[in-house]
Amino acid sequence: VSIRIRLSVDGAEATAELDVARSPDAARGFSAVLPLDGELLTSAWSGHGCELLLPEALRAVAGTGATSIDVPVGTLALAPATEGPLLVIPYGTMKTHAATGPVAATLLARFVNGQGAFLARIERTFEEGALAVRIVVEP
Amino acid sequence: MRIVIEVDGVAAIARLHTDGAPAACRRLVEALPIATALRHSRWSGETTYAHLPSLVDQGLQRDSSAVPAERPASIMCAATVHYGPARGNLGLPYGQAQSRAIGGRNTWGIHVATVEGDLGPYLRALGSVRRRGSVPLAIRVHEGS
Repeated sequence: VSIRIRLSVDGAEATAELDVARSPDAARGFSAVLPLDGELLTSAWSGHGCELLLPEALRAVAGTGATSIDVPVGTLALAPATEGPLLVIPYGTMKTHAATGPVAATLLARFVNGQGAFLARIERTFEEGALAVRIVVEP
Repeated sequence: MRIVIEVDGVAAIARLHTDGAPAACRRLVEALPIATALRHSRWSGETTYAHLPSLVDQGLQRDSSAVPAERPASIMCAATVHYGPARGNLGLPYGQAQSRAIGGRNTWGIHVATVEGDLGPYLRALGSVRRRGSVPLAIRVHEGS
């Protein structure tokens, strides 16, 4: 079953497909908390990407089945962190860390549409600050 | 000797550790006054930083292990000024932080100053940088020092 999500920020929109085959619990858990409104922040520990603090319900699936701290550009991942589960979206080199050290992240989704403009917009959080984001299941 | 650190209009006074880290403090004072952009770190945790090419000093990094208090440290403590001469970075941490480079590799710096007095407004100003983006940073010698 294919599940697509749409991510909207000021001035950009993108579509990503959840990797249900590889990360079934994470994909289903994430889609269950949608629609989701939140604030994308520049990463503090993990590098060139943005983070969104997710509902506590996703703590159980963030990091499950994960073997790597590398999150490639073009993907979205769930990472466990001290403050709660995080959705991480890289626009450059990203290696997921928490305050306690490296933490492997669960691959959640891959962009299928609008990746370039979306990542270019969220990269500006480093200079311009937090960015409101809305994530919904693509109809 | 003291310096004034002004983060987007919020001023704090910090004491330079001229006894423990004389060479690094001298290098910093020579660069004052500083007016630049302060940004949130993407690799080092709860800290902000300013990149100042004029503070790059590879020799200082190598020589600093000669003086115990000037030995390079990776851990950064809140309300301190952490000078990384290898890349000319000044770290201004507000919480748990560790000096790290792109890719997560540990880097090193020297604890050159500690902020004194009421830390609340200063630490809140630093902490707000992550949500606000880049903000103005000014550092100057404190008059009367």
